[in-house]
Amino acid sequence: MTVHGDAGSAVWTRRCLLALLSVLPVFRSARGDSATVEISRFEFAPAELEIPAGSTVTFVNLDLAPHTATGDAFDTGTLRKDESKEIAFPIAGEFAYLCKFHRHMTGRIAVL
Amino acid sequence: MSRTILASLALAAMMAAGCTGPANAQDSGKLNDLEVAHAAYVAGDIDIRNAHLALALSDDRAVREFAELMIRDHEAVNDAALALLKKLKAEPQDNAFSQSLLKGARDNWTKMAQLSGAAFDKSYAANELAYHQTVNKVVSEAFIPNVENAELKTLLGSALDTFQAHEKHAEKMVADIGS
Repeated sequence: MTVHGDAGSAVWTRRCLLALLSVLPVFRSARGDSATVEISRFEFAPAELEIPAGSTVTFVNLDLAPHTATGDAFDTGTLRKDESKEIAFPIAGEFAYLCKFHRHMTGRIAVL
Repeated sequence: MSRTILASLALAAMMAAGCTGPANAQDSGKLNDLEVAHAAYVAGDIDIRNAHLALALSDDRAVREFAELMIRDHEAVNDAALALLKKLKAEPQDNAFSQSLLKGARDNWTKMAQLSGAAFDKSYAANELAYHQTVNKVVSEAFIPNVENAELKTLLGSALDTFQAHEKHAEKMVADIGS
């Protein structure tokens, strides 16, 4: 389809904006609004994490033993080896968590 | 690792599993990779069965939670071991060490099944601590240094992380319950 004049320009601009909006989440992730917590050797790494509100954190279990990351506000459920779970943190607050199977494993996420 | 030290560890492991018989000649020999894989699997399976006995006989919350943890974690480790053996197209090799572990465990189960209440809980907690202390020593000082296959060595290292966490948990259980 060929477009001409002002109307064509408006369509082109709208398409560009839509295209830009469609890739914005990717740029936002690349800027650091997503984070990863590795579960390895019976520790959360990093155990302390600060993220902006609206971020996501992916918990990935690298141990043979199943683990969870469980807090008052979220729960990954059981993660077996190499399984992961993405959790969204839409609002600010302090979120302490632990592995409900191995309660000595603890972590904290500060959402700013 | 000398054969003498390995023999001592093997004997200690059997004692921890409740075996009262003397070690025979093959127990003291160095295990090959497939024998180590078999022994590690048997050691994990023994603890799973210890845990099922605890779930059948104990009402103590700490004991039951520990038992459920042992089943969950040891099954995961043993599943990983089986997956590796399948990948390597290898079969674990039964051996005198594995058989001694199993015999000791069977004797122990017979004794434990006669207990109930606090007596069972204390015995289970103490046995789990001693078992993990000994198994961890065997895995770290005999199995890992001696196995030749790199993937099996890595797997044993990851398994050791799990068993060491269990040992710390068992220490707390013993402290909470008393021995």
